[in-house]
Amino acid sequence: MSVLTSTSYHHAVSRVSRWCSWYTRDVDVEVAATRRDELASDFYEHAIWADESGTTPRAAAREILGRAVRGAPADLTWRHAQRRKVALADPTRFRRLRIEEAVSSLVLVAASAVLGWGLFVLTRIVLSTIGEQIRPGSATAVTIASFTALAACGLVLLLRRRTRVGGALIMVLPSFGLVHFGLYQLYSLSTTVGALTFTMPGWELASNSLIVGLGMFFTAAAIWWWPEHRTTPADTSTRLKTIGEMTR
Amino acid sequence: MRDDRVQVLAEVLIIGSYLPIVGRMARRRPGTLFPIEVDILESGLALQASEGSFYGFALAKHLSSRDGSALTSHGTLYKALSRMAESGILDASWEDPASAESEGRPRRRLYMVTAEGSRALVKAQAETPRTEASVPRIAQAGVTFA
Repeated sequence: MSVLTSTSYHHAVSRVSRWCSWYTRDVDVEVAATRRDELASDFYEHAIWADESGTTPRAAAREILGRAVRGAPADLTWRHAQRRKVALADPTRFRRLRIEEAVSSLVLVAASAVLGWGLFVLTRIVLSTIGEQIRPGSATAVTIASFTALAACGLVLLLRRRTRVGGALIMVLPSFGLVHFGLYQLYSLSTTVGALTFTMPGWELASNSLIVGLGMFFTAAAIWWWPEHRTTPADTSTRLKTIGEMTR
Repeated sequence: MRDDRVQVLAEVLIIGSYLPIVGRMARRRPGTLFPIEVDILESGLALQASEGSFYGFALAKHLSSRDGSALTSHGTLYKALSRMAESGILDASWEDPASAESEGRPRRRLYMVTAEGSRALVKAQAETPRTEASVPRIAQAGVTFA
């Protein structure tokens, strides 16, 4: 079987192409296209050379993947240099990109913290159930498990640009559910939470503030990422016509 | 007026944010070549003498056959080639699409060592006597520092 038509070669090419698409994003379009086309030529020439030298398709695929892995640090420094050029050419646009990245990172950290909290409470519930401190399958435990699953779905949606609005909106629910029911459940399971509830006067206010804060944070993120609605020329003309009719 | 000042301040902040990164990166003295660039120029001139020009994979094969090492990684090779083309020591152009199409393959990016590149190579070879023991083979490690 020829290397060019083998499945292993196509898998390797597909993986390296995906990596290339990732590190060429937000780089000058022409420079990125040059890198992609040059790599496409390299893959082809590699396959032809592998066929001529009697290399098996699997070995050729391994070589291609190995070259990509070994070159990854250089790819990243190249990307950094290219983005620096873009920044120096258009600082305003680059500032917007950096703000966008900062917002994405903050939302991901907050969502991970909510999910982490849910998993922590679930672990405590499982350990307590094993230790026969609580009965299995209580309504609170099921609620916490559902909200943790919802938080995991929200986090997955947040990872993709297209779905992150939905992810941010979904995260509002587990933010409420996991903090409220999680603390309620830990009240009976954790000595620390029990002691804090009794000794700290503003405990309830603090937990409610956290719920409201997280809810507002994820709602704000959804509004920030909400797709822009562009006014079409038809809309504008209709509006102008209406205003014209009103003034008459 | 105020907007202009804000704009200038934003530019200074953004450019300034790069300074620590730039400071950490190994800087090249003007007119000097990295070891991989010397290798590329040597192999490139050899390929150019026989083929008229050279392209990425042909260069990787030639570099590998010279010392029996693995093929140069994609990142190291194409990063070095684009940097050398930008600095004028290589001349880069895309192959005529018709000739690539007639052979049923993707078009190649063709490189040629310029007169400036040849001069830089001669200077580098004169300045640093290249022995196997003294030259760090950065190309083999798959990392460059520029």
